[in-house]
Amino acid sequence: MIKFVLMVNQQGQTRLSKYYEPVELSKRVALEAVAVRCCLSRGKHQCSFVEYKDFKLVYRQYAALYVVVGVTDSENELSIYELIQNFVEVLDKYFSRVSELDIMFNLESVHIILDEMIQNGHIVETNKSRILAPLIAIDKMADG
Amino acid sequence: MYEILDESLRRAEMNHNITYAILYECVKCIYTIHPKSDLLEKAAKCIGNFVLSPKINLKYLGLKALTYVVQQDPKLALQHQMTIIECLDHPDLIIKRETLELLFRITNDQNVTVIIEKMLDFLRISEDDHTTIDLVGKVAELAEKYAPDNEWFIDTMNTVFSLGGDLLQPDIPNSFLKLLSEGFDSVEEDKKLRLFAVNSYISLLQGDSSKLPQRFLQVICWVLGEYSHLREDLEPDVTVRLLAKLLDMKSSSSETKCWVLMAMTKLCPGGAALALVHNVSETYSSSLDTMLRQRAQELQILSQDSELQAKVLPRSASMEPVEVDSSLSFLDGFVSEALAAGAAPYKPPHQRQEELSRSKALNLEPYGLSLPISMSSCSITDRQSPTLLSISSGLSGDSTDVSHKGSSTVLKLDGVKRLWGRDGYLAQKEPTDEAPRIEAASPVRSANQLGDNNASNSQTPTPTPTPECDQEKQQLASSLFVGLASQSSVCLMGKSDPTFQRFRRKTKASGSSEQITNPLVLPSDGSDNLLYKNLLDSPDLDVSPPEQTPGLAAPNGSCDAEEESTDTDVKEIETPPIRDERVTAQASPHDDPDGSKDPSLTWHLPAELSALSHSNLTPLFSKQNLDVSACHVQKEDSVVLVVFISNCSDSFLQQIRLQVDSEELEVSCVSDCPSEELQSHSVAVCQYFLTVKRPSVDFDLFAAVSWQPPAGSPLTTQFSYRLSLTTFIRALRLSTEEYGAMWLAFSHDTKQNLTLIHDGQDPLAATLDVLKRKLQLHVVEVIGVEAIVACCLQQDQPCLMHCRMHAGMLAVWLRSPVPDLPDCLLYCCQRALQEL
Repeated sequence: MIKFVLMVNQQGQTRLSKYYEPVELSKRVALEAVAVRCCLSRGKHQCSFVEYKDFKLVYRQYAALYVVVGVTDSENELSIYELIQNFVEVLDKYFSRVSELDIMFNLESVHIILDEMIQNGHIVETNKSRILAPLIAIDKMADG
Repeated sequence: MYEILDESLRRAEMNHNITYAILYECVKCIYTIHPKSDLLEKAAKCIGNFVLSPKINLKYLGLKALTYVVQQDPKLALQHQMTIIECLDHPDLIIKRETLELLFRITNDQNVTVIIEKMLDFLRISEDDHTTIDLVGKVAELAEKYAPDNEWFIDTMNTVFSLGGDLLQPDIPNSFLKLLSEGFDSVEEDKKLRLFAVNSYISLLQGDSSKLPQRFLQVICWVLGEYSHLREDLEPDVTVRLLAKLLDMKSSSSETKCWVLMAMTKLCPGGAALALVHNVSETYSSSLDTMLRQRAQELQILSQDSELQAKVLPRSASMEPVEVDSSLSFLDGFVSEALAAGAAPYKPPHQRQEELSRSKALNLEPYGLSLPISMSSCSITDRQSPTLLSISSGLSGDSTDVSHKGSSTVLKLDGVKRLWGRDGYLAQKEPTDEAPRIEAASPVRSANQLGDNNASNSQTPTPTPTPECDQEKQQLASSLFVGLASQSSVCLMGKSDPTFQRFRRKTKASGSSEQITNPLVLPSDGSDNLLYKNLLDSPDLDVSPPEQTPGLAAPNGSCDAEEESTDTDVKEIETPPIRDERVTAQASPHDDPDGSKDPSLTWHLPAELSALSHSNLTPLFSKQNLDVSACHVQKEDSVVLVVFISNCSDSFLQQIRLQVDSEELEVSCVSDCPSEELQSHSVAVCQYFLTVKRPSVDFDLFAAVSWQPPAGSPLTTQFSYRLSLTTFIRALRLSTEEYGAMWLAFSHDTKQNLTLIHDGQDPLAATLDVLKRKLQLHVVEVIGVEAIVACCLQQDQPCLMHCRMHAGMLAVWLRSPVPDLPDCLLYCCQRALQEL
C-alpha cells in the first residue's frame, strides 16, 4: 500500500503531504526531511526507487518539485512511478500547465484530486476525466 | 489464466513504462502459480530484456523479477550472469543491493565465498542500519549453510560480528555458539573448529580489543572460557590475564563483564592466576550491579574450591542436560529450621490472592454481591414509611445477619410485616397502637430557664445535642442541622446587635421589668430580655425602674397557664387568673403605668379576641405620653397581633399611624388604628393578621408608629416585636392512615437525636408530653418505642414527626412539604427539651 505522498521542492519545503497511515506530527517533519534528502542527493542516472528503512520511496522530479511516494514492499514500484506521472498529468490538465505556485494557491483542489485517485493507500482511479469530474462540477457551482 | 498471461505478455511490446509494470506483474504471477514451461520461458525472456535495458528503473525491476525466477529455475540466471556481475559493481547502491539480494538466492557451495565476500564488502561501506542488519543476517545464514571450511567460517563469523556490531539480532551469536557447542558429528572436527576459534580469539584479544563490539566480546569470552583448555600450550593464566584486561576496559558494558567473570570462573581450576582472580572478585563483589556481584561471588567461592567447581562447571559436558531437583529437596533442612524459628509457612499464590481479597484493605468484590448490609443502612434515606424503616433498621441494629444469603439486590423483606401500602396505612391493626404522647416543650418554659440564666447562658443558640450517636448518619445529620438552626438565630441576634450595647447599660439600671413582661419569649436565649430592651429605643425611658419580680415564675406561670389552655374551652377561665397574676406581678414595688394599664388594655381587646387566650401584653415603648404595647392572640388558624396605643397624656394626639411589617410574616391589617386623633386617656387598638410566609425559628416584626402631639412636630418611633414559631404551630389531628399517606408525600426532612426526659417509667411519654405542651403538637399514635406526631403551621403546612426511643435518646425524624419547617420545628423541640 501507499504510505504517503509528498510534494517537496528543492529547498526542502513541503508543498503537499498526505499520509495514509497515522504518523505523529513531529515525526512527519523528520520523515519528510530525510526523504527529501535521500531523493535530492540522487543523480539523474540513478534508480528512482530508494530503499529507505523498511519501505521504499518512489520519487520523480518535475522541474523544481519532487513528488515522493512512500510504498510498502508489496507494491510494484514502476506502477507507482507511473501513478506519479498520471497525477501530475491530471494536475496539468486541471490547472493548464501546472506550476508550483498553482499547487500552493489551490491546495484544496490538489487534495481533492489526490483523494480521487488514491484512497486508503490504494489506487482507485486513474482516468483523468473521471478524476476531474467532481472538481469541475464544484467549480461550476461556485461560479454559477 | 494461462491464456490471459500469454496474451498480456504478447501484447506488451509497446515502449511504455506502464507496460513494463504490467509485464513485471505478469512475470511475478507466472512464477508464483503452478509452473507452465512455455510461459516460464517467455517470462524469462522478458526479464532478460529488462535487465539488459539501459533504463535503470527497468534494470531494477528486472533484477527484482529475477529473484522470483531463480527461485524456480536457477539456470535462467546463468544467461544473464554477466549483466548481473556488472550490476554488482554498479555505482547505484540500490542496484547493488538488489543484486546482492539476487545472489543470495543463488548461493551454493561453490560461490558462497565470493558472494559473501561481496556482501561483506558492501556491509563495510553501508551506513544504513537496516541494510546492515539485513545483510548481516543473510551472511550469517549463508555462512552457516555453506561454509567450506572451519577457518573460513570462523573468520567470516568474526567479520560478521565485528561489522555487525551491536546491531546484530541476538539469535546470530546464539546460534553461532550453539553451533560451536553442538558441533558436528565428528569429534575431531569439533575440536578443530573450537581450537581455531580459540586461537583466533586469543590473537584478537592480544591485539587491540577496544574496538570490538560487545556482542563479539561476549562470544569471545564464552568460547575462551569453554574451550581454551583445548589448546594445550595455552596457559589458563594467560587467558585469565587477557580476560582481566577486558574487565578494565572502559568500554566494556556490565553485561560483557558478567561474561568475562563467568569465563574466568571456568578457567580457575588449577590455581591459575589466583592472586589476580582474588583481586578481581574482591573488586566486583561490592559492585552495585547484582549480576556482577553474583558472578564475583561465584568466582570467589569456586576459585577456592576446585572440587566444587568441577562439579558445577564440568569441562566437557557443557551440553549435557543438568539434572535438577525441582522440589529443591536439599533445602528442606533449611525450611524446617526456619519454620521452627517461627517463620510463616509458604502460601501458594492462589491462597495469597484469596487472602488479599478477604482483607479489609481493599474489597475487590463487586458491589452487587455485597449488597445486603448497605441496603439496610441506605434504606433510611429512602422514602419509606417510618414503621417499615424502623422495623428494618431494628433488624439491622440487632443482628449482623442482615447480610445473610449474600447476593440479593432486593430488600430482604421476610419477617417484615407489610403495614404501609401505596395508599397509606394498610388496615392491619398490628402493634402499631400506642397512645401518642408528644411533649411540646413550651418555649415559655425554655424562657424560664433562659430568664433565669439571663444573658449568661445559651448565648450560643446551638445546644449541640448528643454526645453519643450510634449511627454515623444521624451524627452527621445532627451536626449539620444544628448549625442550621443556630444560623437563623444568630442572624436574628445580629440584627439587634447595634442596639445591644446601649441597652445593656440600661438593663443594669432598669433591671428586669422587661423581664417580667416576657410574653412568649424568644425561644433563643437570655438575650431575649435584652432584645426587649431594644424595643425601648427612646432614651428617655419612662418605664419605672424595674425590679426583680419575685422570680419569673409568676409570669411564666401565667404563661404556662396560657399554654395549657390551647383548648378554647378553658380560655375564659384562664384569662382572669392571668390578668390577676399579671397584676400581682406588676403590683411589685414599682408603680408601673403599664401595670395599671394592663387590665384596662386587655379590656380593650375586641370581643372575639378577648375570648381567646392571648399572650402577655408587651409594653413596647412609652414615649411622651404615648404607650404602645402589643400582644398576640392565637386563634385556631391564625395569629392576631393586637397593638394598643394608649394616650396617657391629657391632650389628644393626632395623626396616629401604625405600620407593621415583617420579612417572614405576612401582615394584614384587620382593623387599623384611628388616624384622626386619639383622645386623652384612650386606647386605640389595631389588629393585624399574621401569616407565615417562610418558616423560621423566630419571627421579627418591625413596626413604626407616628403621631403628632398637639403642640409639636410629628414624631415617629420604631419598635420591634418578636414571635416564635411555636405561636404559629397548631396541632394537626390526623389518623394514622392519613399520617402514613402524608408521610410518603412529603419531601423535606430532618433527623436528629433529642434528649429524653428520663423521669418516671415512661420516658417516651414524658418527653412527648413536654413537647406537646410546649409546642402544641398532636400525638397521632404511640407504637411501642415509637410515636408519630403531627402539627401544622397555619392551615396548610403540615409537619409530621416520627420519634423513636433508641439507646437512651429520642431519634426524631420530621417531614414536611415546607422547606425550612422541619429544621425550625426541630430546633424548637430541641430547645424545649433542653430547657427543662
